[in-house]
Amino acid sequence: MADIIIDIASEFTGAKAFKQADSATNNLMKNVKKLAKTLGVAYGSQQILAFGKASVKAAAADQKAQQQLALALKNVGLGRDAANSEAYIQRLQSEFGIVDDLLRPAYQTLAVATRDSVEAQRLLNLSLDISASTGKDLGSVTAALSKAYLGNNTALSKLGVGISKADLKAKSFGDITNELTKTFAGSATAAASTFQGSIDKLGVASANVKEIIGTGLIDALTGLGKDTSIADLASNMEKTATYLADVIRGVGVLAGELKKVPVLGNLNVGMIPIIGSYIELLRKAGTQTGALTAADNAHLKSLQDSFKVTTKTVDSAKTLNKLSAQQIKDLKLKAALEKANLALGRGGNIFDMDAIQLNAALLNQAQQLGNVTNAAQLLAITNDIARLKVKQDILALEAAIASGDQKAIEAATAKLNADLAILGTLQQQNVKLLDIKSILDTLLPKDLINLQNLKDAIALLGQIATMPLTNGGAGGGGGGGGGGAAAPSIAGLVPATTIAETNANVASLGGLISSIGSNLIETTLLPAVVTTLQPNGKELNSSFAPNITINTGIGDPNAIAEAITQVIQDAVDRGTLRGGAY
Amino acid sequence: MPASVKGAVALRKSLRQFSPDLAKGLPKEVAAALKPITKTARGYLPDNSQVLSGWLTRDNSQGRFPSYDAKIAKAGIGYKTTPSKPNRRGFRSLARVFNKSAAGAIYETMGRKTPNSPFVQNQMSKYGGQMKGSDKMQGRALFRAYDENNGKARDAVLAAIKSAATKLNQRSTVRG
Repeated sequence: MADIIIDIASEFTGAKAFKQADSATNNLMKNVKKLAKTLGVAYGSQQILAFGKASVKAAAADQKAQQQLALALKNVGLGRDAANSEAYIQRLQSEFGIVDDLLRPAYQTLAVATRDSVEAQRLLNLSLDISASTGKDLGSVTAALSKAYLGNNTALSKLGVGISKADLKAKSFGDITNELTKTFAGSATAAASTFQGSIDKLGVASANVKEIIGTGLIDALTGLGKDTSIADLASNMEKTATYLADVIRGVGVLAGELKKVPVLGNLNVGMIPIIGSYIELLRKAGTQTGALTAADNAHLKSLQDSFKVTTKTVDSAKTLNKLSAQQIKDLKLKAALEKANLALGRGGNIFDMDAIQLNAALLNQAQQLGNVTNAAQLLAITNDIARLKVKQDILALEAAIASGDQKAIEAATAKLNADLAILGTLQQQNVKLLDIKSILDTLLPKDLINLQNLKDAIALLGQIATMPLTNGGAGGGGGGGGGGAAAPSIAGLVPATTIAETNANVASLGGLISSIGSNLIETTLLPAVVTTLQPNGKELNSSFAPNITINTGIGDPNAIAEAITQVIQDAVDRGTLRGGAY
Repeated sequence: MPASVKGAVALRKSLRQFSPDLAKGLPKEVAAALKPITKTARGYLPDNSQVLSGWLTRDNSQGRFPSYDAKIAKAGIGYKTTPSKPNRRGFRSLARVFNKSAAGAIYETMGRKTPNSPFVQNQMSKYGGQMKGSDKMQGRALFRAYDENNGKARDAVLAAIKSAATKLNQRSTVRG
């Protein structure tokens, strides 16, 4: 009963039989193509020529094999069976589709071993069956059988034909072959009746066609020699060549001999009746041929010259094209490099860390400006901004110098000078940059070691070393050599020995006096305010009297006072509070 | 007539190799499409009380004619989502529903060739399921359910295969 199945979706993958048919068709096509090639179906002259060569070779090889077999049979006393043997081989060839090139050596081996045509044919039939059944090549099987016929069963046992070593030893060769005949009966016929066998038969037929055509070609060649052998053809060709050479030599000798005759020394040979007329005709023909040849040569030469000119022109054009292509290639490369440099420059700008840091610092300073609480901070931040601007200008100037752009250098220098002026004003300094010319000079290549610069630097250091110190009063203890120097004298100032005197001097110079408050905030003091230095080295403003308010809960005042006292005492005991009454 | 698909077997192999999650998901999607058919088909099978008493499985039965057991018959209806071996004509089934029990198959098709058979007549008089479909795909259970499905299952199976193929192609596309 058929199963009840509903295929919802399916795929055609091809059945096994289809695949077999497909591969068989492919094989058939392949073999037919081979056959077509062999027969020269392509009709190409090359293929026909190659086919002709192959045919001649095949025919020659076939003839050689036939002769060798006939000789071998003759040598073993079977010469009378040569024709029958050849017919037998041809029959096997057409029957089993095995080429005679394989059959002849096999038959020869067996015939030499057995020295009996009937036995050789029987063993060859058996060999064909064994070969078809086991897949071993025919040569191996016949060699094994021939050895076994002569008493050596080793090769036969190695064939794997299903005969044990004991049987090989015990049984006679006849029994063994009878058993093998039964075992492999009909294998060759069965193989020949298969598709592959049919193809093999076609192959054999094509090989025979080749040999037949080759034989025809050989006959045609031998016919040229009007003889029956290639040897005669070669001999005749040599003879013909020798004959022609002798004739040419004879003409030369004849001309020489004619010149030797006194009467005929100046004789016009053409005047001689009959012979002379023939010779004259030949001369005219030769002259015409010569003239024609000369004219042809001249024409050929002109053609060759024009060809040379054309070739040269073409070569020049090719060279020009080549150069143009090279130039275009170079230009393209240059453009690509420039593009890459531009991109790199952009990248450099993007990742210029100095510029990034400067910008960040400027931004930071701008933020700090918003948090300024006094004039000093404002001054400091302004100074920092001015310095950063100068640094930016320096970088811009360096970049301009590197680029070699004069205008950019001048602009950068001007900006730097302007910013330096601002900075100088802020710092009450008067800083000047080198002239532009000197900057431009830096663009010129310099020596790696400039001796003049070194000398100048050493001279400057010498000057610094010999310069007297001018500020030795306050730091007399620290500077050994500065103790004896006179202090500077400015009108209105007195040598200060205390902080109050120093503050007074500062106030007279218009400076501000600042002090760090208890809240750690710098405050500007009035000039009248005088601070004193305490025994512990700390500055104390006499007017500074701190009041400390302690917030406590509501309770016994005595108990609170005792508790505060205890806390302070504990701090003193711990060493975290010093001085005072405690 | 099943829908013919090209490369579905290769697709399943590729899914297994390159995209195991899709390989697991595809059969589930196909099964989801097929399950309604089998469920409906089981419903069309008669219970034991609805068939001829002589057809039921009984003790000491000597007959060789397949006896009906509703449980077995309903269990015999199912589906498969794995590709089958190629049939004689070289087709491999990618998804299929089946009614494989002998009694179930008899109920499915009885009377198609011999409508006047006594067995058919008696059974039809007791419980006659409606036969639907056409030609060789005419029946009372599975064929009927498939016919009533109106190709929805087929479309869903094809969509699932196509979807899996599209997803695989998307995943295997090289992105620059």
